[in-house]
Amino acid sequence: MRLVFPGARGVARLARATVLCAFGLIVLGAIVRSTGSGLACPDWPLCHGRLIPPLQTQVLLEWFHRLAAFLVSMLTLVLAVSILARAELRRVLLVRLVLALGLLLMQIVLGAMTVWHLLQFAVVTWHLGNALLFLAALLALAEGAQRLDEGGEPVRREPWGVRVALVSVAAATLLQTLIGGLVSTNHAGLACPDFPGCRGEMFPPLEGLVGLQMIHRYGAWLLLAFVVLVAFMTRKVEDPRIRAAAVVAPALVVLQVALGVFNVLLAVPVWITAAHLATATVLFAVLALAALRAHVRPRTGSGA
Amino acid sequence: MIQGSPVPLVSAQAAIALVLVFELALLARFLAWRRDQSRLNEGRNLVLHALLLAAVFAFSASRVARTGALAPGVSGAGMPWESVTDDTPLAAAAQAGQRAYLNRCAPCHLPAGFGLPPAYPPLVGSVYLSATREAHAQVALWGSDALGARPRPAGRARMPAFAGAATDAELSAILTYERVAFDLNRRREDAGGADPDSARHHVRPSDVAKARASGPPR
Repeated sequence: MRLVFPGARGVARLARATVLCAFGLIVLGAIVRSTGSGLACPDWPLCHGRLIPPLQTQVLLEWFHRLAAFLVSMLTLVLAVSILARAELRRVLLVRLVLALGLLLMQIVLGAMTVWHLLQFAVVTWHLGNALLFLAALLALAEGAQRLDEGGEPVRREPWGVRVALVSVAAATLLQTLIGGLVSTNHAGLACPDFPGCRGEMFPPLEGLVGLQMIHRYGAWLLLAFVVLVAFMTRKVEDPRIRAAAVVAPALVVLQVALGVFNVLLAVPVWITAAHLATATVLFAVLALAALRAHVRPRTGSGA
Repeated sequence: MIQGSPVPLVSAQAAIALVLVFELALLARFLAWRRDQSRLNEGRNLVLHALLLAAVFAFSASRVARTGALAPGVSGAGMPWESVTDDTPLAAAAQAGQRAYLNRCAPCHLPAGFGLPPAYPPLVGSVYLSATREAHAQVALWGSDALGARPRPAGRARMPAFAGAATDAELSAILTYERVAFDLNRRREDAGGADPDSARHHVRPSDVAKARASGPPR
């Protein structure tokens, strides 16, 4: 029997499917976090010493998160094998693939560490940050494979200002998401049960959990201003995907603010918390993709 | 569990489901963007969708917030404190209360109950733990403003009222946990071999209901 490895189109499709699964996995992780199920399986990698755990909601959530993580890992490995099997894919995608595999390995270790360190907030937040970076590496793989499939270099390196703006807005989104992770892992979601002020005070002193909550809110306003600025800066960019990303971003941030406000007013229900992280993830993914596209340099000799 | 009509709640949850579907589609569309797909209309469409979703969600969620159909039944579906009744033994109620306490109270009073003075007073050794169950429940139900007679000390934050945000069962579990975990008198009694299941420490849902029915003091 001969194995037939997929070409660029197949790899692009596989990479896209992996990105969507990883997105689902991140949302599932948010549900595990906000239902307080992180230690429902007190051991790792087994759950209560078994492969199939006792049937109880929180245990099942945690167990399902691990199962989904296993599936995403398998998808990533299949992706890796099919990229390595073809010279033309390997040449272009090797760096991105190594990044993705490294981040995946780290993510698995961090996942185990959340259990071993009893959900210490720094570990859980790092687990989230690494998840987003892994998603970005998968996005880069999908983007590269698709560009190969389309057989050319339709993108050009954008001017310096645009590149810096896109990279920094993606980094700012990551930072704001991590602060949000800290809010969640420190149980600071209800430190201020009202909005926009805190317990009737417009500008409370920034200390303790109230400070964390308020920093997350100020960060949201700053990020909103930043994405609007970036949308303005990139309006003349040629790549339609970058322009679309830049106009979608402010809309997503508005959606995100609405979710955040009602997350507080409704006392952090699971379903809003999950949607809040899902929106953050999509925002980061779209901006990271735009930043990546802005950096692609036409390969010399490919006739671009 | 959920006061008022469940319709706004369902519509808010439907809006959330829409948000998730929309985001999955958005991500998929960005990933599979074809080269010939060069118009910005696509992006403008997505913006309209996102803003529309934000509006739909904000509208239905504000209805939920106004009707008082607040979190516990939603965020805490299947949570241990939901099943606390008058017949739940002290130990089980306190255990359920610990989870609820970490969710609701620990942000300010900290998991170990030491608070962050002067803004958030410590619960350990608080006079309310050895006060009557009704007085203790009043604080949780109506917040610090209802304590009326005593002005808030300088630098003290305002404690919110939880009457609209938590059920009798959840509050009773929390209060029981606080009395069991933070009451210094209880520790002395334990050392002296007193009955740990004393009525003084066990706050039942009916106690909270009674305090709720009598309304805020004055």
